[in-house]
Amino acid sequence: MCEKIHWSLAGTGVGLKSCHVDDIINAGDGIRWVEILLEQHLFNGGAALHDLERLRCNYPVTLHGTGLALGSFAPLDMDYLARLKQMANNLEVSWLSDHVSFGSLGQFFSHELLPLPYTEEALDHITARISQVQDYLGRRILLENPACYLGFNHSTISEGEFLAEMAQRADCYLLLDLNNCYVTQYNLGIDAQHTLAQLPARRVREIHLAGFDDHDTYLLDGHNTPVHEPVWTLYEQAQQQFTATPTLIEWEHDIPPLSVILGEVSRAQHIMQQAIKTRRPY
Amino acid sequence: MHLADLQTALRAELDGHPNAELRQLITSASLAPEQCLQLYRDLLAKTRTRALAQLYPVTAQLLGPQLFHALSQQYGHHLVDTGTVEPFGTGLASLLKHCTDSQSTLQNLQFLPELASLEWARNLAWTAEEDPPQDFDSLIYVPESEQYRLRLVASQALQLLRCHWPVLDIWNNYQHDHPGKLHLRYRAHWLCVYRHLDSPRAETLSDSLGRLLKGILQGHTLYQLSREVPDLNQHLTLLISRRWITHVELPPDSSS
Repeated sequence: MCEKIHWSLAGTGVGLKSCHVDDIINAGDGIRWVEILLEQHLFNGGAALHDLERLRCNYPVTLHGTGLALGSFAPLDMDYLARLKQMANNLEVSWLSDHVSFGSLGQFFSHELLPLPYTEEALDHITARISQVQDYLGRRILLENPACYLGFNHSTISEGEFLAEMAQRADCYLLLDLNNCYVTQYNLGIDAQHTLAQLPARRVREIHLAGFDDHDTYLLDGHNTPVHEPVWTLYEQAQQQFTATPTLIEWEHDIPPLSVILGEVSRAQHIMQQAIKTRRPY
Repeated sequence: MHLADLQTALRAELDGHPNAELRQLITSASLAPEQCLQLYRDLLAKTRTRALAQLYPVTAQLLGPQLFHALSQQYGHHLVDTGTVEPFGTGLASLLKHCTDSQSTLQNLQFLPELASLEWARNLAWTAEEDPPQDFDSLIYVPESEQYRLRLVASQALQLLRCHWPVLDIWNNYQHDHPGKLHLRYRAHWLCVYRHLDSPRAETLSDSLGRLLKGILQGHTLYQLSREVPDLNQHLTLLISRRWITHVELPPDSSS
């Protein structure tokens, strides 16, 4: 059976930074949608929440978090999940997303996203947790591939196979972070194009683009520079494969004026339009 | 290695406890396992420092990058040791208190724990839940004989601090690009932190107003408050006009 996907937003969006709120509201057609970093806005009241309400009047919004720790063996944080659900409902978000990783582990709290081995055991574990979360939220979520600075030699499945199988078994969607793909390729020697080729197009619902820090022997997912050329190249290929997939420009540190980010948005939008024009009719 | 064991081992490695079995599993294109793990340790430390500096900008400025990073490292160990589930950033003031008491390098910054308390109170005020609309009309339904049992309910954003150092002056001073010289005078006083038009604000209170707010926040009844603060009525007008109290409540009578 062919699944019918309702695309509630389209085009290229930007990640919200509090210093850009007024600029984004006044940006008009240059921005199609806005992604909210959950951990920076999970408040009960005050200015940050009011900013979100103002933005929501102007744009579709999505929620992107790092706190679900879906790969972790610690119990799900039901308080976090309840607040996530309430916020998603209040803002009527188009969708919400998190990462294929484990961060917090019981009493150990981590801001960093820690990698999972790609094994059947990890696949079973994360799939069950995604289903539990989706049942609670009453909606499908998107899961993002992480940027990895280490791999595990007992992994039995490739990253692409793992993501595809996870999406299929848990009936969730994928958020394809192409900067993470490139960083992982450089750091672990995993072919990013091979990963992309293994992903089912109907599951990929969002793409992230960002800049990395080049430390010569490794790359860091820095989110503090423009998107690098190899990642743009991957994006052109990805838009051929996953045509018109909504795309986000992430820029979280050393934040430039919004006009600089809008330059990146414009380039992504152009690539997406070119892919749509050349798309083979089916 | 099973997934649960791997996660526990990785956690221990990031806390500085080596695990040989885990290291044998780690792969990278160009880094040794220890280098990969150190990369994650550095990222964790950097992210934690950055997050704390956002919550405590003046404290971070006063300590300087190196000392603040060291404090952030200690805070990370404190989180692991205590297994705290409180929001990230809670408790930095108490850690600073321990540090300023025990470390000679911080002798000139004895006010830092109180400054950190002020910065944390500003964060709490900024993000506090919205207050319900002010409502004192219901007072007319409370029989005069019951009014002594009434409790005043404070704004959810309101924070009261008992300070000894002039931390509000210090904080204000550091809002400028070129902070002036600090004049440190040790004197007990009250600070009230609240939210006005979405922005956190702080101001110094008179002793009687401070004691009144303390009583309100502790849930004292109108009767108790009137015994503690003689000029209660005068202060109540101010508290209502500033929206520092939002309504009154009549708790169930436990004597009946």
